[in-house]
Amino acid sequence: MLGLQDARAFGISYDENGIVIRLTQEVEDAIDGGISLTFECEFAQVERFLFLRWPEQIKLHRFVVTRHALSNRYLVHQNGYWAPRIFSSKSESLNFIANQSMDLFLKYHTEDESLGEGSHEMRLRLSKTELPAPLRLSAFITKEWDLDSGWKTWESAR
Amino acid sequence: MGIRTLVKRISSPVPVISVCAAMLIILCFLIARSLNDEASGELQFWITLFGIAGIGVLVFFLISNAFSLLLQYRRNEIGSKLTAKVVVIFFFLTVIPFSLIYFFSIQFLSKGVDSWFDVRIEQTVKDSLLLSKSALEGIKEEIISDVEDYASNLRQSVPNKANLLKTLDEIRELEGYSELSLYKDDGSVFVFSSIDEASVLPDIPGDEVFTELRLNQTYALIEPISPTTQQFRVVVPIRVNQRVNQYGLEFYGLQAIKVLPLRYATLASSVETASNQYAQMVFARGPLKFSLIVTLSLISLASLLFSILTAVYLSRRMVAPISNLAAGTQKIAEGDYGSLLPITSSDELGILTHSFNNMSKKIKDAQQSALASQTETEQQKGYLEAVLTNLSSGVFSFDQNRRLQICNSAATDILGLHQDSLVGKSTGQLAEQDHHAKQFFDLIDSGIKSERATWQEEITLLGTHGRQMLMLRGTILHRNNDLFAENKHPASSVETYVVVFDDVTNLIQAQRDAAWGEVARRLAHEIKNPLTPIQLSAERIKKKLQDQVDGNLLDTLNRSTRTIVQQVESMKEMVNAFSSYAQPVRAQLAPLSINQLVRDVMELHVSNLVNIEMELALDPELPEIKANASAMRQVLNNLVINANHALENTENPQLKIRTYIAEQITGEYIDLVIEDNGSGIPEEIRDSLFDPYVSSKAKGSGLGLAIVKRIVEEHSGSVWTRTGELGGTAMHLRLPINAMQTYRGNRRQNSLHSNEAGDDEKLN
Repeated sequence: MLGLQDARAFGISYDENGIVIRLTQEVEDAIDGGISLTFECEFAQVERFLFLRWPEQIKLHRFVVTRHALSNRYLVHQNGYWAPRIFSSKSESLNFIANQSMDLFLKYHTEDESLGEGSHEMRLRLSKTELPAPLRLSAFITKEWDLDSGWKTWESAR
Repeated sequence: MGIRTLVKRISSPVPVISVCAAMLIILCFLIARSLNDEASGELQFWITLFGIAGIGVLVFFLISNAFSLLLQYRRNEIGSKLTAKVVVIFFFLTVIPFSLIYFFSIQFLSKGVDSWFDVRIEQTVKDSLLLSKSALEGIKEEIISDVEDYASNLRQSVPNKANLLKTLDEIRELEGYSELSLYKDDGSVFVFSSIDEASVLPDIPGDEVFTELRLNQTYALIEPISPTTQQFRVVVPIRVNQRVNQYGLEFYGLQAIKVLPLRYATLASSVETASNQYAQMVFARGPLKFSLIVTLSLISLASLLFSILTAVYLSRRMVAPISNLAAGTQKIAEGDYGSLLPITSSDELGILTHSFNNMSKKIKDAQQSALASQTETEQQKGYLEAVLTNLSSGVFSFDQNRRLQICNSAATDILGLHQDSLVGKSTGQLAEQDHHAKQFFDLIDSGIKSERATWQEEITLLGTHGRQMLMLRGTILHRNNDLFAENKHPASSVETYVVVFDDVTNLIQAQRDAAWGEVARRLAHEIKNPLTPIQLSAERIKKKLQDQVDGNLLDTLNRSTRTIVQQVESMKEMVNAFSSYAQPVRAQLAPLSINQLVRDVMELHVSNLVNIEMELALDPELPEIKANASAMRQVLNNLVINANHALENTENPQLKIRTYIAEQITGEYIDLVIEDNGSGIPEEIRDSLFDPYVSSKAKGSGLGLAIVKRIVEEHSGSVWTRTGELGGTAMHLRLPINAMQTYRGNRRQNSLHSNEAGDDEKLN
């Protein structure tokens, strides 16, 4: 069962309908300033050894949000797709990412036979390492850029 | 391994400097890499982490070294203060330029970054973007107009799907569209023409497009389909009738997709990219400054810490030879010679260390020589002490202040004193300390004061072992005061004095015994032997002639022969008495009660002393002494007989014999006093009273008192006369209680032999 809660003022959180992405003003300004944001959606299986447990990543999807200045549209590139998805607003693009992530989760969780029994985890986060070089240091040390849903664990329903 | 040892090993200069230098180089390399935009963000993260870790390592080593230096400073370890000073100097020499460079670098960096963002450039970029937008808008408007015309023309032919497809193909090919497609109002594809003949489906517009179409509005959008390609999507509603369905009035949507010509697309893309990058730069200005400042600070701090740490190690390394020298000097000052210091460099410090090692080696050699000399001196001293210890002569050594420095055991034995009570005292103090030896030390004092090179004196003492005749020989020794003085001036020499003395009592006694023995032998040979023939001849003459003569002649004969015989007998007695005097007493010593001896002797003479008032004052506590009983009996006999003779013509004759312990004398003596109220000793013989053949009596042999004196002296005692309490003569005898126990020097020489077999065996 997947337990989704933890709604925050900003950041990436879960609610009853799925994932909600709320950008900080700093990050919104960054998009409008032409900075490409990369969101990483990771799926992992929990491995255990004695009292140790760690997520073993099994799937990774990247969503890159970019503002197109000439058309004033927001483009979402995702791995596996050559052409970007075009949105007229940031919120639409972020919703698309959130929905896609949840769709992927549902897909893996319900359809992927390769996943075995046991605990599984997923998280959606803004990748700081994919930011332009000048921004990385401040992104590492400030909370403004700390957009991470954290690992959410669920037991396989199958 | 203890933590302290581990930290010490880790903190040793080579590994620390190597690790820190490697970290610094890697950090610089990584930062240089990270400044490239193509570098991955992971690198930035690890650089930051690595830099912080490196700074942490540097700070750890720096603090541990500073703490170690502080501890050494507090413990006043050699070299710590100098190291601390050098470190402080290095610190300021490093920090001040670093701080200045850092400050101005920050200023320069901040101004430099700000200078990148010129207002004119920003406006130009905006204008370029606006121009591009306007151009694209113009193209878009043309396309919209064209598509709306196509839509108007196609309105009549919509139902005819075949004609419609043909028309779309012609328009697409004629006008250069990549795709023309017609959709129903429910979003389904009615007909489409694509440049890609292989495509099965057209590029279907999204729901938002149909929303606008339902409002009878044209949808037009420039879409980026790749980083360098853009297309126009224009969708125009076509209303062919007024029928209404679930979506409202029925309509078709004509979608035209036209790829922006390459020339325009390239320019637009360039403008878009430039605009985007400039916008990124504007946005990242603050973070860029921050990032650069942090990077610069990281490098600067790491470099500064590395410099300080290196300065600490360099200071230690530089000061180490000086510290070693100081420690080595301190060791030498404490007497640890010969320690060699490691020579770590060939510079002046190395030369200094080399010289120090040479000096230390030479000092060690000198010390070893001195030690060898000292050992030799001590051996000689031991040899001298052994010689002095085994010497039968007493030896005293006095310093220039006439203080006793050396005293051998024979000296203390002869004088019957303890060494501890003598050494270190002056001759005056010694004379005051020991009354019976006062004369002895006074004689030494006068001998030293005489400043003669050598002197010799003879003295008779009444010591703990009885009457002693000592022969003293004194010598002045000149000793150089300053052993290291090159010029041995007489003024720098110190005079010391050596006094050697021997107890010659027994020697003189033996010599006298030998002399008197020789006299006795000669007397026996020369006088006694002819006496018997003389006596026999006289008796024969009397026997032959007494029948041939008578009357007066017979009387004369008888008288003459009797006189001859009597005189011969008298001479025999005289010779025998002299022999007994001259012959040494080979007596056996045994415990003897003088009181009992006095009573026995007086018992023998009681019949001869009937008219004499006798008084015996014998001390009941008087101890037994070691003496020869028969010899002592002879002494008492002689003295009692002499007293009896002295009292022959005396009225109310009195004789008193006293015995008591002579406590006032050092050592243990008993006194025996025989005094009378007789006529006393004539003045003319008083000085030679104890010499042989001196007598106040007409018939006396003159050997009685001489024998008394001899026996008493052979018992290590003494005898003298004085006027007694009764008015006559008092003969005073002083005898040691145990003359043989402590008088080692005399044991081998004394003619008296102890009864103690063990002692005799030891002596032999």
